[in-house]
Amino acid sequence: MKQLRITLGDQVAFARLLYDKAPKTCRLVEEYSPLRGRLNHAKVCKNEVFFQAPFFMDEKENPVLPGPGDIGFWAVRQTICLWYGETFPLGPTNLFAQVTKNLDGLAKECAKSWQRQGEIMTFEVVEVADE
Amino acid sequence: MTMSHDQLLKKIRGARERIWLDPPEELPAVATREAQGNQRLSIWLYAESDTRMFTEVMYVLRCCAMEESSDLETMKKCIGRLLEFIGSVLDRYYYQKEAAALSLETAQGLAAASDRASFLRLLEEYMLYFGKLNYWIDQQIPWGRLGALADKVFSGGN
Repeated sequence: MKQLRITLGDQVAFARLLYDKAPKTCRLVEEYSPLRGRLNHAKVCKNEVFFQAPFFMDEKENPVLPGPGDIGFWAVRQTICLWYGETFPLGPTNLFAQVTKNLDGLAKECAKSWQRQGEIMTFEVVEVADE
Repeated sequence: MTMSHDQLLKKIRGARERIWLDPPEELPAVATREAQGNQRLSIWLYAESDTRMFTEVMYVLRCCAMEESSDLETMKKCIGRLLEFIGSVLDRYYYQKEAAALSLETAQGLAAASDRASFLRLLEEYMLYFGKLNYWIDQQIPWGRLGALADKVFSGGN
């Protein structure tokens, strides 16, 4: 089964890719994998980090408001957003993945970026044995 | 314009790839001038907000340009003028000379685009580059510490 392996600092987390709900967005993430970017922290929302993707995706897929562990693509800025805790979101994005393993560890690393942005986050689509 | 469309695309992509994980070499030049009070924070904040605003305006204009009903020549003029303006701001306000030059080259390239598809391809390549520039500027601002300090000031503290 394909999953998203997320690396930040010394933390590794895994996310389920929502191929059934956001197929084109997931396929783009897979096509451009591994995606690497310097992390920025959101300024208007709590508990959100993001990095730019090297592609456009204009079609709306699974446009829902995010919650903790959700990962979405924001078309306006060609940006991948990850919500690592409770938040009051600004609006829907293409929600294409959900963190299923080690959100706590990932959240601790993400929170650091409010004080110091710029750490590299990596998204890799990997094959993981079904549990 | 001496560069072909494909050459310009390659140049913009190259510029974007160089700054994908490493900051633009000229980025520190934003702090060349001092603003009132001999500080530079206000310049960095304006650089971030200006470049962010430009990315969002470009997104909206791109959406218009994607519609077949929009007149391509009008979109060329409109977006070309925007990129000239951006280039001027990058140069005169924030001393980002290379970014400014690339913006002007892109404006010329957009004007010369043979059709809507090539126009959009060039615009998108530039937007990816410019968006990355804005994120780099944003990363120079110590939001965490500034936020805590500002809250004290707003509440009447020193």
